[in-house]
Amino acid sequence: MSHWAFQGRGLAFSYPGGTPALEEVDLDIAVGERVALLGANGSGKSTLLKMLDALYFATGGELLAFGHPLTEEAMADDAWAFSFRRRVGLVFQNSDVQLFSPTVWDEIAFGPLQLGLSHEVIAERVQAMLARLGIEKLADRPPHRLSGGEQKKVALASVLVLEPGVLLLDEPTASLDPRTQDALLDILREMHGAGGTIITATHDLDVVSELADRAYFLDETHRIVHEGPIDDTLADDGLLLRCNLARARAVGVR
Amino acid sequence: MSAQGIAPLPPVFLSRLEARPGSPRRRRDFLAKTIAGFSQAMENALLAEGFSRRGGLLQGLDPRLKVAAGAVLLVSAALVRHPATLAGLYVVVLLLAAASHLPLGWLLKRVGVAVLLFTGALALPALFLTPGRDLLSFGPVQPAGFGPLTLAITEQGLRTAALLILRASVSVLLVTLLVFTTPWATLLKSLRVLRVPQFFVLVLSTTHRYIFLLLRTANDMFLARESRRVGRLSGTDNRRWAARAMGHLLVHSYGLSEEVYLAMLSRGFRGEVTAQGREAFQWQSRDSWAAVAALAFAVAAVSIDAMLGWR
Repeated sequence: MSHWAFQGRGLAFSYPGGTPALEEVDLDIAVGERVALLGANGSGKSTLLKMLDALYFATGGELLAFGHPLTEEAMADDAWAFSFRRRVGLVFQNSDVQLFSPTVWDEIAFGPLQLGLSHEVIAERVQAMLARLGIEKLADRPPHRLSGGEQKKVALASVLVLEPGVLLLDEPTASLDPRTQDALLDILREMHGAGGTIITATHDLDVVSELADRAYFLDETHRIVHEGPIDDTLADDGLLLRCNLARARAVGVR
Repeated sequence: MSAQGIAPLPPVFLSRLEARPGSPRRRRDFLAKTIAGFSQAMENALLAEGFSRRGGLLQGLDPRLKVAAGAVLLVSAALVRHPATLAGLYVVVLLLAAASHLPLGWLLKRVGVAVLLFTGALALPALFLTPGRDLLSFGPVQPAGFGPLTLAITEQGLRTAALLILRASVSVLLVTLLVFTTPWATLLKSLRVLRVPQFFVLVLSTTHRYIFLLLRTANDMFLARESRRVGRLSGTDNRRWAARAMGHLLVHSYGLSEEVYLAMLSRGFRGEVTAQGREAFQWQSRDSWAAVAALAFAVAAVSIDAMLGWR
């Protein structure tokens, strides 16, 4: 098995019409790492996450997942797609798009059902996941009637139930109250402790050091402009200003 | 108040707008009615979930039976041709609603509005266009470019329109009863068990799910506009804004559908839905009795209708 979860060289992505979202992106993320993708709104973080989840495919460069090319042709192979989807899970920023089933129970069961697990295993896993996130009482509720924090927990449960080795998170703490943020961070620490790879796209500098050990910085030209240990990079005011991650007044620049 | 304790003057444009307020007793305008409509739609949906958890007659029956019996009764309502038979069916469905603890007045109003809105448009021309004995004449009138014209409601037209509205009322009432006495997720699961194609059930499920999100977005858009509105806007301005809002919602829903599809792909969706409900259905003896009763009632309705011999 490859030591690398993802390796990208010269990655580029443009939306139909030619609007660039990513340019010349190089990255290496090892299995078991905690990595942050930091950048302002519109810098391309979410697009990069979707590429890592094989939802978007690079329009330039090469991306490998676990040593295999991550291309549209490769994902057309059911065996590889099945294996990839079991190993990589994405929690979307907007929980509303991720919660499309009639009840919370159905929502959490959706992924395992698509991956062909037996009904007994699914029932056990869903129950265990509900208990782990403390949301057993929500099992029969429709997702659209839940609060933002509850929705985020259900979205996380719907991905964690697949027991992915790699978890991709898009702005996971956005609009969460402090207690729910703590609960989420605890779950992620637990997953990392068990050897999981966690890749988080965010611009929330308050919690990023608890989510990642290393960071890639994207600026408004949609390129990676810096990579390094999280604590060092967060102390670099010039870098934060360049990537539009800090206000000039807050870092003492006039 | 400003720091000096002097109240700041309002901007000039605000005082201009305030110079033409609407009448204090003006009717609720288009915007207020729209907001109220959105809120009502959401409230009704919440109410429906509550009804399905009440301990009434239909709530206690197996959902598979309810779906199948509902389908049989719908077919019988489509087959019968005598108004008396349809009226009998209508009364029986109302009795079932009462035994299921649904508020009859609220139910009748809801069904009545839906039927008149959609079926009324079809029934109205039938009143005048169906050949037969004249009951009531209007005219003669002379529309531009035409000769004198007499409009008449015919006896046969009245019968046809009444039959159409009655049949639609029974059908809508039956479906409403089914939806209000069965939790939505359970209803979807019973459709799957009864071999309704998965794709159809998925579309039904996601439509129901996202209609709330779009309603909420629309409601927020209207409220955001209301919070910035000063004075009264003309009907033209309101209509123009409504058209833009609809366009925005359409674009928004398109983007949303793309994201939802990606979220499904991310969790292993490959174009074919696999589904499983939380709990298995349990058929009980009362369900057998109810099945026999529903079937017997449908057969009786069709047989009695044949004996009445309506043409």
